[in-house]
Amino acid sequence: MTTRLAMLIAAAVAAGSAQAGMDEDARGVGLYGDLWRPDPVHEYWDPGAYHRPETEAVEGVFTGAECVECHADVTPGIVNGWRDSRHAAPGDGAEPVTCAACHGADHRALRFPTPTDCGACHGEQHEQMLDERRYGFPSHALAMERAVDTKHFVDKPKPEVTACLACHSVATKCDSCHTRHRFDAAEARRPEACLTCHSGPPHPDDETYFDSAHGRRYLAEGGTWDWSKPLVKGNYPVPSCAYCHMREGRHQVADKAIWKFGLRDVNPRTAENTVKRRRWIAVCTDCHGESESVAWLRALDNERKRAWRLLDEAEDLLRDLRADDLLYPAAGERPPYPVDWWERFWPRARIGFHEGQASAFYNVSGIERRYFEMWYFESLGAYKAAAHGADAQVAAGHADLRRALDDIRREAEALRELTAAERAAGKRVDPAPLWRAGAYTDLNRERN
Amino acid sequence: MRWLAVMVLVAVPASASADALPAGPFTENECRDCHIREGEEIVADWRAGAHGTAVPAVGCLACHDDRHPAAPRARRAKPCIACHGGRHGDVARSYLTSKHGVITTLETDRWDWSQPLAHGLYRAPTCAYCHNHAGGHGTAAGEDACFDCHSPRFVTTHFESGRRTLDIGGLKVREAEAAVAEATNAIGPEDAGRLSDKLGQMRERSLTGLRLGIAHQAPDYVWWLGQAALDGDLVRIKAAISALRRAATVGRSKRAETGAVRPAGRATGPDD
Repeated sequence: MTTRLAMLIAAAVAAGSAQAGMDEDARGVGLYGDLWRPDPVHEYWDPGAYHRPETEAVEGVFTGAECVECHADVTPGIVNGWRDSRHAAPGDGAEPVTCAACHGADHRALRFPTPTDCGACHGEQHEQMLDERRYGFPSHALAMERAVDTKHFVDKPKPEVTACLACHSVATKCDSCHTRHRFDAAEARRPEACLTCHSGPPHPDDETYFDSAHGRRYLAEGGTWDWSKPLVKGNYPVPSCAYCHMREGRHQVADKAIWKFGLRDVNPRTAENTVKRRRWIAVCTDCHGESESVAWLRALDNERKRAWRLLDEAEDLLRDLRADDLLYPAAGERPPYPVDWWERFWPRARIGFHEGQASAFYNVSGIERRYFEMWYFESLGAYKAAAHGADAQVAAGHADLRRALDDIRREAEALRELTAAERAAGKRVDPAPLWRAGAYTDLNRERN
Repeated sequence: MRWLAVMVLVAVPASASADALPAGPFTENECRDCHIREGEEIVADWRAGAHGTAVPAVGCLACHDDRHPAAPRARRAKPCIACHGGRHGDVARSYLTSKHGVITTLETDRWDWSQPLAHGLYRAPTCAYCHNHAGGHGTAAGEDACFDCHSPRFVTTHFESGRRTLDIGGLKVREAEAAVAEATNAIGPEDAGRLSDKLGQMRERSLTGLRLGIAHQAPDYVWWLGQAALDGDLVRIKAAISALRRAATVGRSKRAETGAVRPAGRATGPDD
């Protein structure tokens, strides 16, 4: 037994390095897919687009029982996970769902399941997920397209941006929330299931939720609740992420998105947003009064209004600097994105959401990076705090926003003074040697 | 049937010796003396590892407490987190926000911690599952633990890709170092010190964040607290150098404060 296992592992390890890597002719997907080659690890984040069946290690067509027998030795962890799952013991006399149902039976043509594969049995959930696309981004269903179509994803070396796909793979696999191989609905109902992606500077959903009245109660008691119950009124004392954002277990998160993640200034009172507002109130009134719920949403509108006043002021300062040619280096003095070929002739700094602010975090001047952080970190942090009811963090977030605006104002003033002195003296330091070359900058340019 | 026989054979002596185990409490020296006398390799392993070579050494009691059964406690994430920065420190947080960490958080109370850290007996790895795989008492994590659940191709691909990702982060640091080195000759010691501090922060916070993110498979650390943070460090360092050069050219005093220095900020949780 042990010898057989050792031989199998040795053979598999030897084969492992031969199998790693992407086919020579592999191409990216999306709007600019012909401009880039995927990193080998991408096959695990978007298997529908990049996965290559294993052809070297093992040959044969196997039954589920045979797969399990061998993999109990080779990769026992996943077999243990599957044994604990409903797939292994569906109940009601149903046949177990074994390996071949999702991966295929031919070891030389194995596949990783995509949402379409899962949808073959879980059709309702799959349809709900696809339906989310009509609400536009941000959404789970559009996450992968959105990631690979951004300028910075296309521009940067692909091994640098693999982590983008780790989270944006929520569109291309189902195990982001229901981890393999147990695929447990109860796991996805709990807030921790979301925080691997929904944490960190631009989306501190974890910290803001756990700091709210809902989150504090969850942290204190949530471990003792019966998470096998569906996410409907009366089953839980406080909501988890999925309770509100995937109401009654509906597999989509975008049908109530009024403020669109806090990314851009919106009119929260359009006809569409009025419908979404009613949907929110329907969620809140599972436990709270209607007038309270209306007031909370209004408070969120007001928080955004206050935030956008500060953000607009910062954008105006930056646009004035651009108009007066005071950005240093100026847009034409730093590497352009390969997708923006026209920028070689008409360089322009990207300021604000509609100009491509999301990519303006590298190859930009100091003051532009500062605005990026104000917009993407401080502002979204405050928004998440307001949306989740973490009042202390709303106040802290707005203090951060005001400090960011002060930084930007001070820096804008410094740039004006410095440039005026340069112009008076008729001298200017060429930014090119510092800003257009270097170990990383050269690699980045050569990759495109 | 064959498995059952093996299990019985393994289980009987194990439970017999468990009965014979003295309960404790023990001192550090008592633990070591007895485990050496029993001919176990764990003490030698420990001496060679990061805990054994630390000054002062991190001994048995830190992870195991002072009584038998001593193993289950040390298999959990809790004793590790107690020292490695707390729940909001980058070491623990990068693990706790990974899928491995999330599953461990959710299932900790359901798992049988008397099982060894091997053969995929836990649905997700704790710190010790990888860093002390199969009871090893060194602290370096290798690929062995990964193979319990993941295919060789998956493991190789992730390790190689992680190396490439880390190398790119290293290039950003090198670019910043080269820019600072070139600028340092022309500026005063105070400004040079400020630039050097920025470099230190780039290495210690952002590059470390990236490394932890790759090792613990925490995407937010790889990207926002890793690569994108390194991009910000590089921009800030270049902006500071540019401001100094431009000021010097027009005969102004030092301007190292410009370059939109981002304050440390609220990078982690409310308890920090």
